[in-house]
Parts: sequence; C-alpha cells; structure tokens
Amino acid sequence: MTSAVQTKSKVFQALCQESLRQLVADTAGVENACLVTGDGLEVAAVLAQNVSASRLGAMTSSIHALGSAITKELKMKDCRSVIVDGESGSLVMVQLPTTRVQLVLAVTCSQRATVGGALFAAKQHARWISEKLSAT
Amino acid sequence: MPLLSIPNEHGDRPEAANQRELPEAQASSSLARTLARLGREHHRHNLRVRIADFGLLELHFDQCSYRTDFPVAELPRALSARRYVVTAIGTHVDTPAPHCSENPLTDLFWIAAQQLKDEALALPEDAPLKLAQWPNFPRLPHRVEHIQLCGMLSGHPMSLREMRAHSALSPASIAAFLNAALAAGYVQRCSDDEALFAPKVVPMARGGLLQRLLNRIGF
Amino acid sequence: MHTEHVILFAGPMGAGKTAAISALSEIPVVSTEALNTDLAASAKLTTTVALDYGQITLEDGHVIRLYGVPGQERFEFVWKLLQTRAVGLVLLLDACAKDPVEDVDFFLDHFKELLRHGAAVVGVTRTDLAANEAFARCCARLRQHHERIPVFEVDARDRAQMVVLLTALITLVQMRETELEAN
Repeated sequence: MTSAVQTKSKVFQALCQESLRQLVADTAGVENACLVTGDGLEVAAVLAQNVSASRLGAMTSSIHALGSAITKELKMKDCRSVIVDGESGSLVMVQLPTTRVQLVLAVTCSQRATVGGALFAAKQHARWISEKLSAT
Repeated sequence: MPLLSIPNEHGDRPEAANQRELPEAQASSSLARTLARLGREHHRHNLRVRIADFGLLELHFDQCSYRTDFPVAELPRALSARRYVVTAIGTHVDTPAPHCSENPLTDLFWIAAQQLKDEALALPEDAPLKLAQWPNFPRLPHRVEHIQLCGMLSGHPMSLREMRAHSALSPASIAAFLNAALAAGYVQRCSDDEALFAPKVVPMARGGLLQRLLNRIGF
Repeated sequence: MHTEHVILFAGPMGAGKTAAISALSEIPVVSTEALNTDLAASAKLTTTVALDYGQITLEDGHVIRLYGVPGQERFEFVWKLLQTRAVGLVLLLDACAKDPVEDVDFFLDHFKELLRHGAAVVGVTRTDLAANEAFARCCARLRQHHERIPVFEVDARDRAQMVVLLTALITLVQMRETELEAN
C-alpha cells in the first residue's frame, strides 16, 4: 500500500514519470498529464511549456475533492473521476484505485481526442501505476 | 514623609517595611472602585494587592500587565472584595511562578469597571472620543452593545452626544460602556484635529443583518 | 437587499478554520479534506484542499454562508475566486506558527480586494500553547497598518468565542455597507 513517504521516493516518481510519458505519447490528442497527491502536490508530470505544474496540481486536487464532496452528499459513494468539458479542450481527473494515500491523475486533451478516449487511457495508466505501487 | 498603608476594615497593615506605601483608600470601597479611582488619577506606581480569601494581585504599570496567584476566573468576585491591602512596590518584576497568570492591565480595568455600571460618566458631551483598541471580547465579560459601540467608534471619532444620536442604544448602556472603556484605555479622548479630519460618522444600523444574526444565535 | 452573505475563513494551515466553521455552522460542515503529505510544513493529519462549507440560516430567508479556504499558497486561486463574493473575512492565525506577524501581512495582502469592499476581523488561536507574545505582536502590527481590524484571542473550537468574532465582523460589515452607500 502506498504511503505518503513512498510518494516522495525517486524510484516511485521515475516509475510514474515513465507511465505519464507513455500516456501522452501513445494517446492522440492528449497534451498534458500530471499525477498529484490528494493535497495537490505534484508527484510526476509531463506538461506543455505554458502549463504550471503547481497550479494544475492544486486545482486538480480541489476539483476532485469537490467531486468527492458531491458524490458523498448524493450517496454515490466515492468519486472515481471528474470531467471538465472546455470549449477548446477537456480535462479528465481520475482517482487511482486502492492506494492508501490519495493520488489523482489529471489528463488534458485537445479537440483531436475524444473525452472517452482520454478517460479510458487515464484509467488504464492509473490502474497500472496502482498495481506497480502495490507490488513494491 | 512616609506615606500610610491602606488599612482594610480590620486595621491590618502589610509587614514589609521597605515597600513604599500608598495613601489611604476608602476602606468601605470595593477593590473595583479603588482601582477605578487609581485609573482616573493616572496612578503609575506598581502595586501589590493582598485580597482576603483570594490571594495576591499585582499591577505592573511599567509592563502594562497584571498578575494573580489565583485563577483569573475568580477575578470578578475578587474585585468586589472589601477586605484588601494595597501597597506600592518597586519596578523590578520577578518572573511569575508557574501558578501565576499574567495578563494585560487594560483587561483588569475593564473587568473592574463592569462592577461600576451605575457610576456617572464624567465626560463633556462634545469631547471627541476614539477607539484606540478593541477589548479582547472573547476573553472578557461583555455585552453585545459593547461590540456594537466599538463598531460605531471604529475609524470614526465621535462625541458622547453623537453616540447617543446615532446609536439605537440607551444612554445608560452607552455610559456604562464608556466608563469601562475609558478606564481601561480602549477608548481615549482625541484631539479636535483628529476629529476634524476623520471620516463622516456612520450611524449604527437598526435591525438588519446583525439583528437577524443575534436573534438566531441568541446572544 | 441581499439574502445571502458570504464570510470567508482564511489563514495558515492549522490555524483552526475548519474547527471555527464547525463551531458556528448549524449544518454538518461539508469539507474537502485530504491527507497531508507535506509533513515539513505541518504535522496535521489532514488539510482542506478546496473549501469547507457551513451555514447559518436567519429569519426571512437570509443565509450566512461560511466558507473556509485552504491555507497553503498553492490554493491561492480559491482565495481569488471566493473573495469577490464575500462581504467579510475572518483571518485566523496560529500563535504557534513560525511567524504569525508575517502571516498577518501575507494574508491581508492577498485579501486586499475583499478589504476594499468588506470588513475583516482577526482571531489568534492557540495563544495558551505559545509563550511568544504572538497576540500582542499581531495587535501591534494591525494597529500600525490596519487599525480598523479588531484582533481577538480565540479558541476556534469554542462556539461562544466564535460567535463573538462573528458578531464583531457582521457589525463592521454593516457599518461598511452603510459607508459605501453614503459615498
């Protein structure tokens, strides 16, 4: 199970970085990927030049936390993902399954990608990272 | 010429010969009234008060603090005591013992003044007054009117006449507040210039959001 | 006439914002807490990452909405977002923090837009645990630069003390609204 200390280890971060690199490279239209802790601190990121990791990380954690608050309010149990549908692109945020420390993967995509495709890729990589972490 | 110690009703005097002792206070006055008088007279020597049934209260005017060796929660009762001895002490202040609590002097005068609500307010009606500092209300005895009056005075020097005209409160409430706030130094007289260049007086709102809140939380 | 009145609770991590809203709110607080992974900054187990929400419903349909914002600077976008809607600010400071006076300057600077159209009060918490005259120093700082902002010592968990803070704030909010209408 992942601990807060583990999120800061170089090995763990390198593993996540590689996964995000593959996600961005292999998924058409995906421009940025960022893995953050539940309290908004960056673990790994593959970002375009004009994107701030710290701001994206903080915003991701805030939005995901609000998603959790709403699903709890509506008795929908845990929030698995949040989608922000912008006019010229989208952002999907996926909570990693089964980690003790909350981790959220945020992926942005242009209009070239479908939201469904980005969500699928994000969930796949989120599951992969979780499995790798559980095994270490 | 040596000054006399203040005897209490039993004629007891303090034993320490090397302490300067104060002129008499009226033995029939409560300690609160004695302190209020000292405050009005701008008394500045540090004082030690031995209060029967309670313990020691020290006023350190040079440090702007007071110290008790009994719980501060008992202070209101202690201040209504009529058996006490007041002596002047030097400026050297020992580090307080662990069981002693040290607090701002302004708080002491405020607490004392709460017991003197019926005292006449000796203040010209048009003397401009300003709020120098808010009382630390969560830690002090207070009424909601005190908060409202501080709000009114905040940023706007006002005279007693203006406070009566612009607040929804009774003259007695205003007088009680000013007696306490002036004794403690929270409210001070300000110069005519300060009053001249101050922003326009804002009347206290009647009803409205504050009243609704007070109705709801039952202040 | 407004029917909702937004009050923000801001201040550094661990000052007691969530506790303060819990003490005042008539509904269970909606919170967005996450595990704190930045133990160098604070030993707290959890931290607010979006906002806390509580409310007090008044007669005639008026509602006071209490929003607690995260304390860390990386969530500054939340402060910016909410301060345009707020009429009052409760700034809570931790007497045990490294430099509470620096926190005064920092937060009042970030909320200066709110201060232009609204009012603020400051509460210093945990003064019984700090032997550093933090309260006196914060008072002195505010007297110097923000003389209209009152400072109180509070226990953020204590409803009665938080009610005093809120009463003082609403008093000042009303005064400010009247001033702005007159000018």
